[in-house]
Amino acid sequence: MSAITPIAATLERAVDLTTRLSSLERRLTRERQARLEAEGVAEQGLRDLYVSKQRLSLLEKVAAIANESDTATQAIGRALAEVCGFTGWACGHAFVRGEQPGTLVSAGLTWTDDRADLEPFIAASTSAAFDVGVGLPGRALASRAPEWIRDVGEVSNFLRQAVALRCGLRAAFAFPVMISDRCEAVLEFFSRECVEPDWSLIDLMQQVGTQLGRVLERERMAKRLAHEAHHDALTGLLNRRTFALTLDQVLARVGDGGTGQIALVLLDIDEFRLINDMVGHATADRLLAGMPATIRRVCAELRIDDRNYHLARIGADEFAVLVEGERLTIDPAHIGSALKNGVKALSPSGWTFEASVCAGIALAGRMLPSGEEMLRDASTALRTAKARGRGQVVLFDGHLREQTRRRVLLERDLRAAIAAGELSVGYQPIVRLCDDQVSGVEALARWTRTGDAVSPAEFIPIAEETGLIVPLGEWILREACRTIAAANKRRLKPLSVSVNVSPQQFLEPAFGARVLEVLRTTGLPPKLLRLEITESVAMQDMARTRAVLGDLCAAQVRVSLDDFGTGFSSLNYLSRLPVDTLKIDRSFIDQLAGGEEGQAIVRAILELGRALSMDVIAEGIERPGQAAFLREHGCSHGQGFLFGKAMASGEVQALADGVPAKVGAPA
Amino acid sequence: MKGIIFNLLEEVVTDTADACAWDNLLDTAAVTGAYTSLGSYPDAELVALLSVFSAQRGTDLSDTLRWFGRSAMPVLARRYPAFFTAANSARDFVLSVNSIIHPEVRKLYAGAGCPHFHFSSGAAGELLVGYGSARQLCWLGHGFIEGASDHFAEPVRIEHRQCMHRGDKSCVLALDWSQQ
Repeated sequence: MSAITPIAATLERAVDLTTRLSSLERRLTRERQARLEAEGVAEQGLRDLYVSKQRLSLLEKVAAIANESDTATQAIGRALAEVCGFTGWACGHAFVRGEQPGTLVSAGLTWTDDRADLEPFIAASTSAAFDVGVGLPGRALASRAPEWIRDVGEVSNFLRQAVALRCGLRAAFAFPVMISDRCEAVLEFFSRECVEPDWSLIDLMQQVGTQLGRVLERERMAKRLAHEAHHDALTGLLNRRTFALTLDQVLARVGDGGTGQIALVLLDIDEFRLINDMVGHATADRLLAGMPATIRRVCAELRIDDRNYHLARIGADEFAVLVEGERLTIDPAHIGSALKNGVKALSPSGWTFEASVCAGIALAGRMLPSGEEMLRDASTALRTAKARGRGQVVLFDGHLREQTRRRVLLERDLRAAIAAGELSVGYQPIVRLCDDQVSGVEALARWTRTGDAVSPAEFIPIAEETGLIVPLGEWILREACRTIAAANKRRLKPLSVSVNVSPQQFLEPAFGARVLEVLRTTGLPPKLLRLEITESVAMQDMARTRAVLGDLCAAQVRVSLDDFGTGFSSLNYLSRLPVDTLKIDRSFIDQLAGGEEGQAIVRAILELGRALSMDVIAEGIERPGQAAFLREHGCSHGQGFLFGKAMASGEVQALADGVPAKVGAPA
Repeated sequence: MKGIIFNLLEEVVTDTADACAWDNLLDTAAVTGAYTSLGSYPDAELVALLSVFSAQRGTDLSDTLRWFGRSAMPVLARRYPAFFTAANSARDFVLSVNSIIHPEVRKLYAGAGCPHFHFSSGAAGELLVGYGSARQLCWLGHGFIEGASDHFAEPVRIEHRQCMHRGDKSCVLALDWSQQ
């Protein structure tokens, strides 16, 4: 037994060792398998991390490109290279929207790894255009989403199939570059191998497309801002600043050996402010927006080639046409007729008047003017045209040049005269027609220059243009109130005084307060002051006019509407404004002797005055017959040379009560 | 050298002999032997292992490298089948080394110094493969090409037109599959 026991024990140990060895081998196999699996997991993690880093790097590069590139073309070109570098694909090409809607044309941007090898395919791509849904770019344009082709040899809707296969290209994908929901460009890429759709790559490319879309949008916005900086938004024409530069450039070109002539035509819509008030801004804007086409039609009628002129909107209702030509024929009458016909078509049906424009024309002669001088001359011609009435065309010529020169001198002297207190106030009698008694006077500015009286018709417009009218008007108001207040101290029946108010004076913010202040300081009772405003003053800003006149009327100041019948004579505003007197313009009184028509107008105005309970004063009465007619038809007051010329301050103060005006006094 | 190469060598040695043969090899070459596929290890350890194995087989190092490359290919095909299924032929597979296989290697080993092969067409449909690594492992490449050809069952004739071991600046292997 003792011998058997060791052998058994040895066998048992051997079995035990074999079992342990087997167990260790299985453990080793398990450990080995675990290592392989761990390595597999780690490898996959590394691959994913690598891909993720690469994609992030691509997006960073594309974002940097988007930020750094000056143009979308530059950005797309660089993005093509980056995407090819990232994917390892053979080539990329970009298409952009063509001029025809719904088409794509080559942007001329390509990246290839081997240009010579792919030349035929690149040539085919560069010359190709695609409609919506046609070919790979057309499909991306239609779907506004990435498109993938595993093998271009397997699909039918791939127009460049033969040349692509000849160049060894197989897989393709394209993605759109979007601005909002609009596809503006398509980028396509080609691989030499067949590649199954890679959705994570497609997703990445969409992000690239988004980045490039921002560059396109930024570029488009910059172009729009640049356009807006140079053009008028409503009409799309050049704006004033850009037009001035264009004018300078054209003059420089002609001055630099050019043989052409240059004409500058400035156009201004007549009474545009009134049109605005009457028909509203929207309709008035439509009229403005219609001006470019109208001017182009007129130019065509005048046989001016559209390559030979530039159009601009240089003011609210002011347009400019700069015409170049070898032999320009400028006939103001012809131009005026063409403009009249062209512009009246802009008047929508239902309007009570026809739209019209005035034009001022300046020509560049042999001594080329500067752009500024030419604009100034054309403006002078335009101003002259407007002074002549609606639809007038004036050419800046030698005569106008002389007038302008004279005007400049007059302005200089007027400034000096106002500063030196050399102007005076004359007082024209206003009489009651029933008994020819002087009931009041109209204060008129008087200026004696180097011994000669200057007509107010000559210097008042200059004062208005230069703004001198504001201090001058206030001085006349104060002087007149002071004189009449002093005169009335010696009278039983006080005189009233009418004072003209210019548009600029009326627009002064504290106009009403200034009038009341003058009345307080001069002691003239407000009911003896009659402010004479014109229709153009009244209609500048109806709401403000009503407010200002309302305040003055509340203080008992009277308001008369001057030159009634010469403007628009709108009954609408007449009924809405606190006006108590109508003045019949002298032009109607002149026509009284001309027959029934002139008389009918005066009768109508008198009837209107009666109906609205307004006083009516007829201006410019020079003949007894005119006074008789007016008296017969119930006109309460009149003024004119028939009743006496304007008196000096001293004469007014000496005017006795109850003495009739000297009918028939010399003019 | 990347750990995957040591792992491949372990597998082919184990498959050819047994696990003990690999342990003996490690002991004889006096290397640690703890290789993970993602690690990097001194080139000298691989050279030591292959030198010892060559001595044990009674062949020179180039022959061992060729044997190793050829034998490793089935193992690679098991571990990375996608590389093989994407190719239609041994030629396709060889041509995909630069564009597909090495980029994949770089995903796992940041900054891996993969050799770049210069492919060109030789006479009568030959594929010329240029190789210029300082490791001078052209015979390992030779074996890999043979292994790939075995995988696609396309016998190949390989000729070393130029060889750094013969003093050339780079190696050029001419591959001809037209003998099948």
